[in-house]
Amino acid sequence: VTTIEIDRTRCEGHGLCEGAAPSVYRLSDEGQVEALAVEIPPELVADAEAGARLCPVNALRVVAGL
Amino acid sequence: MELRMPPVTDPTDVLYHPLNVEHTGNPEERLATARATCPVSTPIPRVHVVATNELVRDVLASPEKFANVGNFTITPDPPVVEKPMITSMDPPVHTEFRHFMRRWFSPLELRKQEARIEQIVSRLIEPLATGDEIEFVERIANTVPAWTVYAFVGLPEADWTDIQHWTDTIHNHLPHVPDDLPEQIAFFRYLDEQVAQRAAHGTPQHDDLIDGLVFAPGMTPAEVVSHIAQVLSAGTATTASLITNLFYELLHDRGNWERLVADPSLVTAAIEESLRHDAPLQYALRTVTEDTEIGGCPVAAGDRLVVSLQSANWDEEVWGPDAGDFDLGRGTPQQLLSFGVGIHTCLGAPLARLETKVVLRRFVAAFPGMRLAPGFERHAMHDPMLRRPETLDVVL
Repeated sequence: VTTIEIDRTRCEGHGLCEGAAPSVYRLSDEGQVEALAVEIPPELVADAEAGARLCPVNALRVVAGL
Repeated sequence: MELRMPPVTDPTDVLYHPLNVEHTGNPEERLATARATCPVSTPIPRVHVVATNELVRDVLASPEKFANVGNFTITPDPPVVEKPMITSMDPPVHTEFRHFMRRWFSPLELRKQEARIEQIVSRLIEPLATGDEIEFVERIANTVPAWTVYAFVGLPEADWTDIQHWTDTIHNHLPHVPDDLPEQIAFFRYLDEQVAQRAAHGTPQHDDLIDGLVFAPGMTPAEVVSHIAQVLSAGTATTASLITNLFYELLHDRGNWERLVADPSLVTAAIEESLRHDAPLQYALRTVTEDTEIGGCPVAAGDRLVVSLQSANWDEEVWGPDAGDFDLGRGTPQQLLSFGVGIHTCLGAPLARLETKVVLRRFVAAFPGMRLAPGFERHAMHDPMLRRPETLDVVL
């Protein structure tokens, strides 16, 4: 399974991940990123990676499981 | 921002000289050659230009090896400043100060400025009519970011015209502003007074950046003035360049403008493509902290790096063979380097995007027939760091 690692010490709430992949990421009311699901379904992996790639503070990592 | 520079040396055998406005004004071919043949070049002894997307990202993502100390000098072995501005800070001082500044600069907070930006744009659009010819940089692109940042910082609206006159005059003298320039003296005297007035209250009266800094523990009035001046400088000319570049590209190939008029949902894509195609700040600067190598090229402690955000955004490896084109329909999003990346990522990026969105949305709605003035020709600004046309004459 594919999951998302969020480094909360780095996230500043820029929201570019949500802009690129609103079905994977959202910003909380406090302006911090949240993943909408623990496990990313195969059809959303490309979106998840695009969102992570755009993060300006490198707070996101998409991890492909075994 | 102030750039201290050594004299420009003979540029004839230099691929890309970061202080030669002939190079920085029309850098497309030079940077393409640098990416293809010499990703790390050395136009000034011990000053290296980093040109590919991969290496630019590597450098910006390694603040322990490539530090901000010495910004914005461009000479090797920069002196260490005792009370640096945020752009010259390194961890752990930087980490703590950036965290403190996020109270005002979190994207969530910055997005609350939208109503105020709408008011500012309304005030500037109100006297304009379809068919008017205006110089867009002075009337709109400079003024929206200036007023937005003044309001955001907490400077009284009655003073905005004076502040803009002082800072524009100072900017026109960069990189060598005379110490006795009257506008510079007036500007800093004004900031001193603002800070003193706030401090005289004894407790914060406003939820703005000035009071936040004035009442921050351990912060001296001189430091507050320096941080405020830095925020004003960082938030104005850069965003003015973004807005100007965007409108130039849309109107220069007017099919782009017509697409936006037909489909205003393209506004965000247009802004992102402008940021990529035209990096408002063409390069960032770093100092090498230990002997190491970049892309196989040895660099020594104390060497300076000119990190080309613009070249990274034009890298064909990432964006494809048409990376040099302005294309509203670019597919898979890639990371832009225009605001930097990593721990020094531009704090004001969400505000710059927001201002630009409001301006574009309002002009598309109000002046769908907008076009470049007859005979207008683009001339690059004579500033080594900033990229934009010097002026932009348009017919509304």
